[in-house]
Amino acid sequence: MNEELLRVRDLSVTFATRERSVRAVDHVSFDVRPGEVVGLVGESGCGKSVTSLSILGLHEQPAARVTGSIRLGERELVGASRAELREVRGNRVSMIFQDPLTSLNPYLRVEEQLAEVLELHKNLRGPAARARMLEILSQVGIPGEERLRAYPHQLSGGMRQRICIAMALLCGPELLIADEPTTMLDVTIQAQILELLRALRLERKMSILFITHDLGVVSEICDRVIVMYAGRVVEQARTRELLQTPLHPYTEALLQSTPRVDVPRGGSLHPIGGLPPRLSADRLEECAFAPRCPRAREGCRNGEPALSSAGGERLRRCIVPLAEMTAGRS
Amino acid sequence: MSKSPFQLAMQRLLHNRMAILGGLLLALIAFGCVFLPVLLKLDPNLTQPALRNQPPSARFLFGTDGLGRDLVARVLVGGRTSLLVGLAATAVSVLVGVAYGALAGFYGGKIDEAMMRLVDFMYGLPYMFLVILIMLMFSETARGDMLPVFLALGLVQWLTMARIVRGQVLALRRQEFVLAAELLGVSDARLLIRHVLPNVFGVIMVYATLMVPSVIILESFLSFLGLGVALSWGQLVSDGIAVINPIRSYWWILLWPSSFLGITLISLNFLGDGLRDALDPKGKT
Repeated sequence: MNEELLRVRDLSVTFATRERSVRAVDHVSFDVRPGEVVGLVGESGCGKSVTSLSILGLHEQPAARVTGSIRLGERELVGASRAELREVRGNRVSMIFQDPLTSLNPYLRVEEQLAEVLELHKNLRGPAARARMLEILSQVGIPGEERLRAYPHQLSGGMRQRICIAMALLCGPELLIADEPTTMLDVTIQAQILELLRALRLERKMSILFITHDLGVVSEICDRVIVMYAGRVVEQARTRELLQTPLHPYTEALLQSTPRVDVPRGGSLHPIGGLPPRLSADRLEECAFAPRCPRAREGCRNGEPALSSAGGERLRRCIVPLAEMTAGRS
Repeated sequence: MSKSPFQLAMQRLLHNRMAILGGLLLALIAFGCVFLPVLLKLDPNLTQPALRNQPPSARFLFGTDGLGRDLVARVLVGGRTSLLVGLAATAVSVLVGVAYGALAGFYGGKIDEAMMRLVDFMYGLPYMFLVILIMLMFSETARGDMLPVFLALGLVQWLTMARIVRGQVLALRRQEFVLAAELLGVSDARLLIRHVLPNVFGVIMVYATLMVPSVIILESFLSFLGLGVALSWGQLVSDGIAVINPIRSYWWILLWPSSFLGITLISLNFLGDGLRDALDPKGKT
């Protein structure tokens, strides 16, 4: 089965502010196949969260202008009515957030929050709903009925994230959007949550769109990675290939700025100098990364490079010859 | 059994001595005002010309006024009006203010802009004039009816409540749990009623508690000016001041209503402060 579950084409999101318009996402296209985990990687402000929120239609019109196409199976989500979106949200597509401490309503018991979703989408109430809740809680590793009666403040951060995941999975979504779900957790809990997501994905054949800036997390869980910079896709590849031989200088720089256990200590990390460009709705005169790029050259100033194939499924937006990028690597 | 955040707050409140003291005093005064005049068959309007301006004694605990009326009866019955006006006008302003502020904050953007400019405009009006105007308008048609007082005071006080609620809702609207609920497909109305408002409830309660005393003062002020509609503490204070002069002072006529008024106001403030500390232990607001 090679049919895509999620098909994003030429997605652009522009926010109009009083002074100027900001294009946070610029003609982004990608697919997520059933059962696949796709990583969306980039610095803060590169458009990864805006992309994911567009899938769920969470931008307020008319402040944000969303163009392009987002298809979930047969359904077009760009321009869908609120009622249509409500039907998709939490049912076919769910989302989990970065901070589990603020993702649960402090005034509702776990049970009440879970019940709301079931009632909304599956019209399930009473004992049947309860049985379903207990089932899903044991799947995310929280056994026991007493947790259902707990308020969020009585649970630890890791447990709350599990509850959030349980809530997201309650209706058996086809796609789970995970917006940095492990960033606020400490490393051991982080590993547990990743393990849980991996297991759930295999069990349910669910796709995950995993948004993160942590390449370590990417290597743990993603099949494929999309690297974004300044609202654009700059590279797309299978995780292994991307981590071993990055074909875009930005990806390369990201990797060099990430600490790794397989590199001996004492080696230095190389942060990326400078700041991401100010986003605007105008066409770029040069490659967006050129001002910060260690490999920049004359040709980089002549308009923005196009996203082109670099062998197989790999895509990159760069004019530096492939041989130069791979030189010195196996 | 697990406790809700609200139950935890009530627990904290019970450990606050000043708040408990305030609550007890209030309960005592309210009980006295509501039940004692009935139980003891006190008549605040019974004049006894032979017993004018009597100082406090065993027969008249608080003394009598210039027409020989028993001040115990008058203070207690007057308290009914003051407390009732305080509660009812606050209820009006909470109802209007919360609904208005919640809608503005929830929908934000242009709707919020328009709604809040109206509030700003009304803030700019001299509210005392407004109240006096409303009272005068109604005083001809409905003498003795207290509804105009509730409305006049409530309609002036709701502005602050609307601003507070709007700010809170605006902030909560962007909280992740509200976003999460929205992403799970929860409708607007449900989002507002079930996820946003319960989280503002504490703030509403605190400000409502602190609003009661300011409404009572306002009403007393109106009564003091002679714009009151019924016997209240403000009117009694006004009577008391009238008989204070350098030659002969009937101090008790002023002392009792002002003491009751003062104790009630202080108690309400202690209770409100206690509530604020209990509901918001981190001191966010």
